[in-house]
Amino acid sequence: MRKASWWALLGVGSVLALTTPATAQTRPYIGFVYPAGGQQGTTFQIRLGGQNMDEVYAVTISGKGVSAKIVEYNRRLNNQEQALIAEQLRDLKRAKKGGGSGAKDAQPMMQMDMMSMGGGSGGAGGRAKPATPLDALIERLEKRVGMFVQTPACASISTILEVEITVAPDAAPGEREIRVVTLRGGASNPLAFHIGQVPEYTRKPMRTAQIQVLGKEALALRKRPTEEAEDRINLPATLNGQIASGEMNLYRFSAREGQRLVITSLARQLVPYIADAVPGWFQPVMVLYDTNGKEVAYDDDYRFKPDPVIWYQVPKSGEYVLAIYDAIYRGREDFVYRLTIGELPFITSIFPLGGPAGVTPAIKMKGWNLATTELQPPPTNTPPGTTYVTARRGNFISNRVPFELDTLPECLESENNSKISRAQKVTLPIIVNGRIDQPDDWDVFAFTGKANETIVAEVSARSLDSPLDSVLKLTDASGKLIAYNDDREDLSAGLNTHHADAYFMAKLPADGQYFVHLGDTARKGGEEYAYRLRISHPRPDFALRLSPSSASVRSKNTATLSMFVLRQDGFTNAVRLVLKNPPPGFVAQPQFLVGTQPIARLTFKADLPSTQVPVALTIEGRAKAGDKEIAHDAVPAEDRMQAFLWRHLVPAKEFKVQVYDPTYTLPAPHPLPERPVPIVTTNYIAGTLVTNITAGVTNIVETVPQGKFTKFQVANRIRELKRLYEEGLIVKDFWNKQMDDCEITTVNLPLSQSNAPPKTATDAPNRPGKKGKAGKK
Amino acid sequence: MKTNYMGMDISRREALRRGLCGAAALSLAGRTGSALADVAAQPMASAAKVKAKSVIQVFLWGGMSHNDTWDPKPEAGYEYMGEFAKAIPTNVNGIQLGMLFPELAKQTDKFSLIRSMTHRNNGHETAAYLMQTGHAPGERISYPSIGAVFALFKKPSYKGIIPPYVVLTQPQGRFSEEGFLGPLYKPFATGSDPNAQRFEVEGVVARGITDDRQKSRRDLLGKMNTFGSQVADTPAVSAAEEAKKQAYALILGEGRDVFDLSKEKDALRDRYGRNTFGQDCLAARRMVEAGVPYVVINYPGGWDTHSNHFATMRRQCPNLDQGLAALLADLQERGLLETTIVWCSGEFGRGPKIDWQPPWNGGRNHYGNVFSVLVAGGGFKGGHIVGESDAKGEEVKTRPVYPVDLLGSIYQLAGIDARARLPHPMGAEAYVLPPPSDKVKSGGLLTEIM
Repeated sequence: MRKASWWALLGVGSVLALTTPATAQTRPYIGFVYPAGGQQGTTFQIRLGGQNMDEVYAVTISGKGVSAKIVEYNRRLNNQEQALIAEQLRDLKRAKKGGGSGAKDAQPMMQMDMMSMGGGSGGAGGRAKPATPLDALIERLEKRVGMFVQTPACASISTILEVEITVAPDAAPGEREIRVVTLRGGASNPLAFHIGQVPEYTRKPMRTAQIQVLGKEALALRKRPTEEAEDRINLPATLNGQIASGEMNLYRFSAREGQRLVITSLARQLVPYIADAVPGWFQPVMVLYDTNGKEVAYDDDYRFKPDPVIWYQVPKSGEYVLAIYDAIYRGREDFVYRLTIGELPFITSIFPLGGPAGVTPAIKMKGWNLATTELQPPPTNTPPGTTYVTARRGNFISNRVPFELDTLPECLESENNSKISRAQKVTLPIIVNGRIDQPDDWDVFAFTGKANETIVAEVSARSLDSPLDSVLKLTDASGKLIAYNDDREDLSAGLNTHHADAYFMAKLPADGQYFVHLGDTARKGGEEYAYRLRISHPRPDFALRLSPSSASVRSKNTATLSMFVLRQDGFTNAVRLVLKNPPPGFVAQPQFLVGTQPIARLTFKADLPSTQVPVALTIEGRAKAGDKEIAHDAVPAEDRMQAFLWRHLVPAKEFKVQVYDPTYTLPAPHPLPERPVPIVTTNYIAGTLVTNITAGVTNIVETVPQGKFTKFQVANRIRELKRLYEEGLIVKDFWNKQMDDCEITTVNLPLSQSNAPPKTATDAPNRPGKKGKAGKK
Repeated sequence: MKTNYMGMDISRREALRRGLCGAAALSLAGRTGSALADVAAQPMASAAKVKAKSVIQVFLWGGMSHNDTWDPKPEAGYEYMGEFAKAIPTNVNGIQLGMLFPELAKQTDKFSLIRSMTHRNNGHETAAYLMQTGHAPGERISYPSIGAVFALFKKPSYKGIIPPYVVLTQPQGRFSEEGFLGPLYKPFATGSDPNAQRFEVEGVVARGITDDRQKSRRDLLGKMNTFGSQVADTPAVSAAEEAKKQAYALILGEGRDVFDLSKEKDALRDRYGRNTFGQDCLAARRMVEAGVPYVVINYPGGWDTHSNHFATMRRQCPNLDQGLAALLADLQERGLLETTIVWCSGEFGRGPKIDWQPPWNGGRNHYGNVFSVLVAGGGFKGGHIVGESDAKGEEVKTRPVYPVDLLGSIYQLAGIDARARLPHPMGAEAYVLPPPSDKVKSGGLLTEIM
């Protein structure tokens, strides 16, 4: 990963917030996935919370071996819709007691439900099967009504999608991306989804949390039964849970003396940034207690990462309890965690942090439970940049750690180089692989330079998971300071909020010997405080970030994307943006990023009617650097806010584009029945009788109270009723009754809109919905 | 707020209920030789130069958008203006307001707008402190708000029965308004709702208790107060008795009448708007009429519109527009505008670029780089614009105005020396506003409208 000079980054940072497209309103969004993963060779249900997921037809997971099937879609209902369903529920219950028409009407409704939903009320779990279709309908509606929260803590994660996931036994373990795909919005933002290797425990999903009112927070807390606080587990295990406000989750397990337990957590890594929370992420704390309730281990951060890790060698066989909670006892349904506990391999540090591309490196690793493991170095054909290495024991792999490959000459640091007088001599260009071995250590490197020569020193440490918070100085032989840097803002930092890696570019004042001093800002040091230090002439280069990481385009239409360029070592040449090997039907005029311009708009056209599913698109930037041409693929990213203020570009694995036909609509699970259009024979004024002619029979319907509803309200109500019917949440009798009310009130409103049959799959061939409709309830 | 009143650990409101503080407590402070009373010796402007006798501060806590209100940018496009793209003319040529302010547009000759207010602070607490103290947050000393400073400096001349620093209706809670001056300078918060049938000011009008019952309670207390009659000659007890009399005067006498909005004609109450903010404005005018030096209206509901921005603005702006316009017109009709400063602002503005991402879905976030403040009366000219923001309302274009400039101008019009030293209880060196030696950013006093 290349880094840009600070001035360019500041410019980019200032425009980052200004590039959010208005289309974000229609793009599907997922704020959490729970559980955020599962074990190889299992099938399980997950829940995604988000917004704009109407017309969802697919859920995609990157990589091979994991499939998803939509089980149930529960959009956030408004107050009126909730009231309608509740009213109907009361009617149905009365009908059940009295065997009225509602019971009769529920039969065909439930038959359709069973077909379209794959057989049931999804999530009912181990409950007994309802005796009749009416019972099933009542049960489903009760569940739906029970889900309703009038004022959610976060409305944009309160639409719920239930999905069944199947993981193949040989699916590669590790992190993937999960996205929701809708007909018009295309692919959502991605969230992390992990494939695990040990048995999983998953707590019951949380109900949508209510908003907390200042001073009355307790009213919004959920009333969790005491027995649900603690689960008993067997090791090894992966534990999935959500943290509610004020709650702590406990896990009790038996451990043997001598076991070397590693407890890792994923929380901030699952939902990296939360816009409306301070701190802007779930900040988990893990505590381990022994049989007597005595705290034996505690962690709130693993080094500079908010997700804690505990290593614990069990001193005595017995029962232990692991607790997890938010550091300031916040909680919400997007406070999702995934803990793994067992005698698992865990790398705490490697050395060196990188090596020359094309060469098999010799890497030493330190950590827990690594005795019988083997470190997997990157293949020799791995291109320059950041890659990852893991320790492997058979098929079981450890955590992954970053490893940087480069094309410059490299050397190792020779210790005892803490002063100018003992400086390690280097010849430029060079990448030094070293460590700040002990507290208050400085590593000093000497090189010979000429007047007006420009020199760059760049540390890669924090970006490679080293705890080193580097500081760089450039001095002459007399110790006179020429350049100094502590931190450099780095737009490519992703999840790393402390941009701790130091960088300077300086012009040398005269011929002579110069000294680059490298230390830790807090004067800390140790074996894990490793770094890579590049000392070289400027190496002008660039990197590209494309935000957001998905787009949806109407057939034969255009879409515009935001492209950020991160310029390195004073790079100012023009960057030409092009589509790289685009799939058929995608074209774009090349776009140029010039000078110090930090951002460009790239417009591309989709010259095809539609795509079956979102397709991956790559955008490449090409530029001249000296006499050679360099090219980089744009890294897709999501522009995410944290804590109401700061923004970060979170990298994604793919850029996904969907082309859709705007005339196409997914077929409704329950098509609206025909309804006679009323003919009004008299004007509707308060007290006037209104007549409704149905099949030639004139009936006096009702005396109309004037001004009961506005036209706008009635039109809304008709839309709501249509939607609820199509979703199978109201039955025909109830729909007719409600429609009668609407039509009486608005007898001179055109009703054709609510009765017009929707276009369906048969009207528009070659639609993703043809295959995707099975997933849509 | 708990504090120690004469050895008792009670809240200020409780103390007022017990008749031991409130307005009377300020006089107690003087009688008991408090160091704070020494402020009377501070330099004050001569009466002839004092233009403002009272201040009404309308605090739009949470931070109101400037683009959508008093600094409209119709040319900035949908990404900046959303559904509020229209600007409307006013009764002053060349000045436009946002489309939700038709009533203020008819009163624009009475107020001026600062469109280049800036402090670049985006935190509620820190920005609220900065806007109401003029001091940078995070210093060792916690400074008092402008209202508390008014209470301190106006104390020698103010003889009213109502406390000199009143908040309608709830304290903001973002910072300690009294600062190091201590609890006696904490604003008196009325509580309740002036739009209710009976404005039950807490500690003044007891909920659900009739006047007769209140009087009988006082009589009963008098009969039972054998301790008081036996030690009546003790100075502290005499002072307490005096305080109690004043507190009851506030509860049952003229002070209480000030809060009785039913004494106003229905037509006027309607003009202010039959909602909490509108009636807050009317109550504020009545307090100013009674001579209260500093009244704060903390806008009920707040303006922190990260999400649901447009609906909230459509709901709240009409009330703000109506109430504020009626207040300015009513003050002028009564001849009070000349001696009453009205200023209206949040702790910051809101992001000029609309955030369409979830969870905001069309919201505006905190923005202290540039925002707008309304000032009127008490020596401020009307019908002027001070400074300007850039084309999209993102930065100051001309004439930055910093909190010290705004507060310094108000202090000057009220005859309070902004360079005066404040009586810190531990003797620390503290001034009304930061002295020039602190080199805080300043664009200068608002002389163009003074």
